[in-house]
Amino acid sequence: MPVYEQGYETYGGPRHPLNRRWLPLFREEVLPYFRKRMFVFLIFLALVPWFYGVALTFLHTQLGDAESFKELVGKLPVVDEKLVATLLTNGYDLFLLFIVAIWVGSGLVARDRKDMTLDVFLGRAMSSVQYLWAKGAALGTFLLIFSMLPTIVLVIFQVGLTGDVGWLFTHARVLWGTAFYTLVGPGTLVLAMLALSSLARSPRVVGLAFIALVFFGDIACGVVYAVTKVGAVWFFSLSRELMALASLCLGVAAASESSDLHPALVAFFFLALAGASVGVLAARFSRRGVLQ
Amino acid sequence: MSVLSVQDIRVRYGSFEALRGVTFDVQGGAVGLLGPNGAGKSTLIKSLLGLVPLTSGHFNLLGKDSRSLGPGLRDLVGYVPEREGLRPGMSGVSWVALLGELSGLPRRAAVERAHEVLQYVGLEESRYRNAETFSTGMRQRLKLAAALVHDPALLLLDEPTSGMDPVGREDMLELCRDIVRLGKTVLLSTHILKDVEALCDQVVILHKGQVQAGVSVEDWTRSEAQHFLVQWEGDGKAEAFLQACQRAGWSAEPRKDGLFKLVLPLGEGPRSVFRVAREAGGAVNRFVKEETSLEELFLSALQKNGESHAGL
Repeated sequence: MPVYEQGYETYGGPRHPLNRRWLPLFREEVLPYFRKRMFVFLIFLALVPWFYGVALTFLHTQLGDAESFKELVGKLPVVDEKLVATLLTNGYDLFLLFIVAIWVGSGLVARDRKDMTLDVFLGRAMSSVQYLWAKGAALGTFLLIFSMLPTIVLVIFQVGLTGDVGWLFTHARVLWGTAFYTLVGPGTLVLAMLALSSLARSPRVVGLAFIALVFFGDIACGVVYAVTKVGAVWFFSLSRELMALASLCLGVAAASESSDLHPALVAFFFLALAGASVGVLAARFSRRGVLQ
Repeated sequence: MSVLSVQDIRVRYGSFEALRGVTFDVQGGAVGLLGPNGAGKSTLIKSLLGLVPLTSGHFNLLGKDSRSLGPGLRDLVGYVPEREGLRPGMSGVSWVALLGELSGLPRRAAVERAHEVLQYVGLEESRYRNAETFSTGMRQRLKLAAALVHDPALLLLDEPTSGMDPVGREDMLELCRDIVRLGKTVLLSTHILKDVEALCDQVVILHKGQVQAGVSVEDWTRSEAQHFLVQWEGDGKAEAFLQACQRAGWSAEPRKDGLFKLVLPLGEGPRSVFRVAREAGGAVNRFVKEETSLEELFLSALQKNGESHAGL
């Protein structure tokens, strides 16, 4: 059938306002990952320590008063700021956090550059900021699974199993401290991944660059610390900075002496990283170098 | 009211000025955007989409100032990029629906609309297939469907027929003609001059970031010099005819087949050719008026500027 006989219908229906245009892009960034079994399994693995937290609450409430278990359960840690800080930044969870950051984050902008879809997306009625917001929100959603979301679930179990609403007030810092940690720590990580991803055309290159920065950075800091025993050398270690940030936000002592970074150094690190990331993104998108 | 009125647009990449005061008006229909490589065609298209910031100047789209429209101006524009621009792993209908949603259509409307435009471009049977498996022609049609999904008033087509076979190319041009018949304006950037001749009634020639010419194809053809192929036979040598032509101020060029290619300025016609032939001591045995092709016009426009056309 000739094409001109197939007809063309004009569209006169409603349109969403400009500030909602990023939502479909966000959805398309997030949903495909839930169809990947390996990725879902990784998320499950990341939640295992939090199951331990819930189990602790269960044991304390259900067996804490039983004579035969009292002594044993008494030795177990209780759910408080210290436990949450440990759950947030234990080495196991941080490793998985970085894996997910690389898996999702490395392709955020780089994949669109590789597939040449970046100018297709930016050719729609969506600003660069909205585009970046959609991409950042996608990575941020996954990083919330490592921080804020399990904390909220843990608190719900804690209050639900103990029936002690007062716990919310005595341990309010668990919630607002975790919220602040999430905003600053994983939030800066999202900005850094966006910036790194906007610099390359290949997600693989971005992933390798991140691995080099994080893992080899840690190794280098460890070597220098072993020689100098100066805690400040961990300034260049993202994982140690996250540990220190969690300790500061939740008001607990650092897990180890070597993690004991000065609060000013921690603040400077995250400010500098966020500032540099925003600077890179502004330069790449305002001058449109990212489209080249 | 002009559909598109471009006013003294300048775009600078560092020290390099890609667009140097581009000004033209598009009243509607199909407009060809021509120029050698590096002339600034893609930069102009990206500027009109707001993808490349303007150093100075502005443009009006449907009477609205681009500076006041912001990103919303892209709801009025559909863009078919030259480069691939498809997300691997997505079916044709999912891809077009996603782009419809990004243009503000609600989810259900975007999906319905995606089906409609895919049927319109002739991809109704392949719409659920992974777009990665599409042939070059199908990909070009998919990009056109994506550009149409939000029903824009202006379509910016960057090399829409590149890599297509002749049949596919003709189908694509037919689609573009139909889009123009529907009242939409098409700005076609291409290297294939035959596509411009087949589709466009107005041409904007860009060269080194400036508009070299911007007139209707018909007017331009009429205003340009006339081309003739002439067979001359006489007592003397062919040199005599060539010299007589040069004396008359014409361009004359002998061809291998024995014919002379003459270029006469406007106002002179066949009578002058016969007169000069007699003056050279011979007569015209064969006389053919050549239609001036857009390609010749395009090359002459560049040559007037003293530039080679090696970039074509």
